[in-house]
Amino acid sequence: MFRAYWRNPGSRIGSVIAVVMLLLVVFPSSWLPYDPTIVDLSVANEPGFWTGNFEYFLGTDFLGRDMLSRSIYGARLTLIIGLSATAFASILGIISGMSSGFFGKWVDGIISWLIDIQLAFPVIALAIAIIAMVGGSLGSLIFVLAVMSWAGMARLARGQTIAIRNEIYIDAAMACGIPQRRIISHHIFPNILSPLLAMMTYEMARLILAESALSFLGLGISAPKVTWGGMIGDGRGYIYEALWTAVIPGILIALLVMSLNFVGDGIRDAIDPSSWGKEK
Amino acid sequence: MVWVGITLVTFFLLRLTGNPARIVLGQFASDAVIQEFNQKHGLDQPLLIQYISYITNVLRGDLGTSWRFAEPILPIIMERVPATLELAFASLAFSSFVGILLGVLAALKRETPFDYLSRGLVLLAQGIPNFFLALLFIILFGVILGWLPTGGRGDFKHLVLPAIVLGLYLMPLTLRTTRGAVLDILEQNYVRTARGKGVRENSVVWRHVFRNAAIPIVTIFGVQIATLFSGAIITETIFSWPGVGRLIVAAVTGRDFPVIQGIVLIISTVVVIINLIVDILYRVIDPRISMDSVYA
Repeated sequence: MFRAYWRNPGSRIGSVIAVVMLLLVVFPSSWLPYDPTIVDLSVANEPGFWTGNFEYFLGTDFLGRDMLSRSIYGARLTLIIGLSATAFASILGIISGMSSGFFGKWVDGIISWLIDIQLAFPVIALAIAIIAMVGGSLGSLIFVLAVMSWAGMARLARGQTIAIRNEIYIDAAMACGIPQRRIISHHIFPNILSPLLAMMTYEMARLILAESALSFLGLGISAPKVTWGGMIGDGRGYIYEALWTAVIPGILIALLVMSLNFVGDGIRDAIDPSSWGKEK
Repeated sequence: MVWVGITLVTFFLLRLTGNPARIVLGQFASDAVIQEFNQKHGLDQPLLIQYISYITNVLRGDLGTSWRFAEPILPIIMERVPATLELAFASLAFSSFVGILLGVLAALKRETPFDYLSRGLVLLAQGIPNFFLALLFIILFGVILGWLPTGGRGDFKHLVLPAIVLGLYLMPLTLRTTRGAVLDILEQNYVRTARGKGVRENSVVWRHVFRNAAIPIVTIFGVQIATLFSGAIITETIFSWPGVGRLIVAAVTGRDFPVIQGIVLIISTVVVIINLIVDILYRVIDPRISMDSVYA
């Protein structure tokens, strides 16, 4: 299956780009060409390498901060938020989805009710409302994003669990007296993992877009912490004199999101038996 | 039932921090002032009583009073609904038309350059943050080319950019669903039969294939409504479009919690209603589906 995944050129490119970007999270601050937070108004809004300026490779923003350093620095927070929110949403969603699908009856009733409620809310409206209440700290932002997307994972996990629940080997396992907990973790979970992995990559892409939208609106992390969305928001006021300050982070976000989508597509195609053997 | 849950969530939204008065009045407000605020807005009563009075008021059409404008909330929201509806219709029309057309064509011309092109379009539309795209459009069409206004609501020209931006936000899902549905159906026996009978290709596509592909597309439509509102919030803010989306952002910056609460409630109610309509539409499109299996 991994071979099928790797044969797909899209997933190869996507994975490479995604991994490179993920590595930016652990990029040591000491390697950055400039300090991303130091303000120097004398070099504000300088263009970068496209006008021959190699001192500030990607130019500077309205406060004279180096765009290259800020981009790498911003990657860290953007990705941490994306990864943790996806992780929380996945854990919450998978556990509730599997419980809902496996146990059925009132457990399913309650959890499905909660899922339906969450899916009825326009995601950004809810996020905005919650952040208005509890403030825009890192923790609350991750919490809000996780709450926004657990339902999708839960629904998928539930559907997959229900599909497998009636298989013979589950009955056999139960007949052998294997405790339910173990059935879920050892028999059900590994078999539903693949579609869930695909969904996780899509969700991460979606959450990164959501975080950038929130930061753009000024409702995400506040200064001096920097994310790519926030950088676009900053650059919005200077699109005439310093277009690159808004465009560069936008391109970076688009690149990351597209590569994650490629990875998700690759996983999805790799586990779909109808697409095997297409190369021949 | 879902609606009850929605009201519960919106109700508790306001009380999430435990002390909304403190948030509005600030850290340095004295206890007496806080007390007065709580009394004035009924925040000092037991939660259950508050919830019951909230629900009864809502059912009577009273969504409370805005803390900022000191006016009833419902009229404030309703004032801005037409603008949002206008944007919603325009962008849905755009995304459905482009999405369905390209989806059907991409499925018919599978694995041709056309197919790859439309999939590439989907990729870009999904990957580029829509507010970023909006900015680029404003720069290109508003500033550099000067063809279209950069914001506000007015004549048709003002509607073009916001509708296209929001439409592009919605289009990828429609296109992919249409393409997938049509691909599945093209392999069905009845399509082969129709072609074998000598039915014109045009007729095969639109009368046989499309009708059956309509079901998943209609499902997606219901899902899109919530996405539509989310996208509208951002689009309206960037284009200064005077709709409900911009109102909620203003309410957040102005810390006008009852308005936020009211808007969230209304939007989610609309989403639930539309999804119910979609469920009923299922039955109309395909009489073979009984209501039971829809809720299986």
